[in-house]
Amino acid sequence: MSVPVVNLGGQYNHLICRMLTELGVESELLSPDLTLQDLREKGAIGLVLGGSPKSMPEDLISLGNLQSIIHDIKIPVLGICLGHQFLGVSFGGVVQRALRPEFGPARVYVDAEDDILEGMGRSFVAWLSHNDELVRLPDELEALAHSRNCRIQAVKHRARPIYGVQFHPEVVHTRGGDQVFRNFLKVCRGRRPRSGSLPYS
Amino acid sequence: MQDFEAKAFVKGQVDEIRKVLGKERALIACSGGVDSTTCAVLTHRAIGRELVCVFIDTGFMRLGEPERVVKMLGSGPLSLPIRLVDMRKEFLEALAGLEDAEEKRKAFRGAFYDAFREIARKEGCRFLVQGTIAPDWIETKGGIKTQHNVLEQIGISAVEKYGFKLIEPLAYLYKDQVREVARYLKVPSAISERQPFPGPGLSVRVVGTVTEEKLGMLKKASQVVEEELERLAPEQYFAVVMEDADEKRETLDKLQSIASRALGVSERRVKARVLKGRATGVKGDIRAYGRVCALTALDEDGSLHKPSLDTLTSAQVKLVSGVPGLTRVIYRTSEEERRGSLLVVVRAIRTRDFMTADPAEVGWSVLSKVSKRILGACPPVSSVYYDVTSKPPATIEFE
Repeated sequence: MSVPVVNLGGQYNHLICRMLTELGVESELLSPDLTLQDLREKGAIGLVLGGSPKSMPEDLISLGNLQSIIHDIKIPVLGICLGHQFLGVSFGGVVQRALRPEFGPARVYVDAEDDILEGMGRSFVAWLSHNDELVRLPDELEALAHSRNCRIQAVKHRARPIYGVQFHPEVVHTRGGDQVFRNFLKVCRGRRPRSGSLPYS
Repeated sequence: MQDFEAKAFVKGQVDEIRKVLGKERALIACSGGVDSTTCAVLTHRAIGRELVCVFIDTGFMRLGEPERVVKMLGSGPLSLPIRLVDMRKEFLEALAGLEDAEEKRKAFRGAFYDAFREIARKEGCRFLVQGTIAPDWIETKGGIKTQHNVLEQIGISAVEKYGFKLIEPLAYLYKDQVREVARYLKVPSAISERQPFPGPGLSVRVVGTVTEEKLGMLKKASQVVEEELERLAPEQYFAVVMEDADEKRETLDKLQSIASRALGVSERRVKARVLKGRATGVKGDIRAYGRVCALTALDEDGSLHKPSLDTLTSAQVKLVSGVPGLTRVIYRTSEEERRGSLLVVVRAIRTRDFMTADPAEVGWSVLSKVSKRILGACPPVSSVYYDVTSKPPATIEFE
C-alpha cells in the first residue's frame, strides 16, 4: 500500500513522506510528470500534492501531467498549500495574492469537519506559509474551514474523494496535523466518503 | 507510530560505505556537532583506520571550542583519529568586506572545500565523507540559504571542482533521527544531545560584515547565553550581533500602530525601529532576505514593559503579515539602552525537526539577567533584544 507525494518543490514535501511512513503506509516523492499508469504500477491507494514556491495560475504549465490527470484520477487526493490552490484552480476556482499572507501560526476554524477534518475540534492552531490564497471556489468544491486572514483554509470535492488544505498538517507545529493524514488514510483505505455518489469505488 | 530503526539504518550504511570505499582511505570533515560526529563514528565502524578525521579551526568557533572538540573526539569512548587544521586567517580573509548573507555563505563554502582539496591531495584521499542531513540540502536546493556542505544536490560536481567524491550517509535523515543513530552508536550525550551549530559558525551570527571586534563581542555574548539558557534546554539557543543602525522607512508609523494595538500599550510609549542589517527568512517556500523590526514598549513609569511571549508572538505575526519586507521582530529585554555601535539579539527556539520552529518561553527574569550580563561584558553593545519570530517567516539562524 503506497501513498506517494507529488513533489512540487516545497520545503516540507519530504516531511509529508515521513509522516505517511510513520502512519504505516509506504510513501515516496514523485515528479509532477507522473501518469495514471505510474500510480497503478505503484499500487497507490491515494495521492498527496505537496507545497511549492510556485504561484497559481501562472505556473500551471510547469506542473506537468498533473493538470490532465486530476480530472481522471480515481484514488483519493489530498492537496496541501500549493497543492490545495492547484486543486481549486483545476476545477475552475480563483487564486490571488493574499491581502494578509500568513506565515507561522494561525487559528483555523472548522466550519464542516467532513472526512478530512474529523476530530480536529471546532478550531485548532495550524502553521502556514503562503503568499497566495484561494479566493473563489467552483460549484464542485465546498469550503470546510477558514482563518481570520484567509477565508478558504480547507476544501472538499462534492462528489469525489478530493480534499485540499491551505495549512501544513505535515509540520509538527500544526496541532493534531497527523489526524488530517489519519483521516485521509481512512478514506484511502476504502471508507466511503460522506458525500454519497462514488465514481471511484 | 512506526519508529525509525537506528539499528537497521547503521547496518545498511556500514555495508554501503564498505562497498563504495573498498580499501580506500577517506577524509571526514568533523565540527564536533551531532551530524558530523555521528557520521564519523559510523564511517569509522565501516573502515576503521582508513578514516582520517579533520577539524578545521575557521576562527568562527565559540570560546575554547576547537580544543574542546578535538579532545572530545580524539580521546575517551570515541577515540577517533582526529587532527586540527588552523585556517583562521584564510576564512577571515575569504569573508572580508562581504555584507550579503548569501555571498558570505558561498565564500565560506569556497574556503571550506578549498581547504579539503589541499588536505585530500596531501593525504592521497579520493573520498570526502560529510554529515550533510536532509534540511541542509532541502534549504540549499530550495534557494532558502546556501549550506556550506551541499554541492552535488545543486549540480556542483565535487570530483570536477575539488578532486574528490562525496559520501553522505545521513543525507535523508532529520536531526531527531540523527540523534537516535548517535544514541545507538553510543556517542556521548554531550554530543548526541548537543544543540546545532552552523557550519559557517559565528560568521552567520554576525549580521552583515564580519570584523574581529564583532566576533570578539559575539563570543562573549554567546557564552553568556549558553550558560544562562542551558538548563531551559531549548533545541537551539544563541546570540547574534548586529550593527545598531536604523534603516530609513516610511512604514514606521504603520509598524508603531500595529505594535501598539497588539501589545496593548499606547502608541507614544511604543518605539518601532527598522534596523539596517538584513536577516534571512522563508515566506511561502521562497527565500525572503528582509528587514528586522526592533520593538520597545515602556510602562507609564518609564520602565521596560514586559509582555508575555504569547503577546509578543502575536504582535510579530501581525507585523510580518501587515508590513511586506519584514522577516523578523525582536523585542528589547535590557532595561538600559545606552550609546553603542552594536546590539545583541538572543534567539532560542523549540522544534523537532528544525523545519518549523517557535520562539522558546524563556521568562523575563532570565532575559533580564542575560541582558545585564551581556551589557556588562560587552562595552560596545547598546542594548539586548529577544527574537520573537517563528520559522516561518524567519529561519532559525539570522543569515
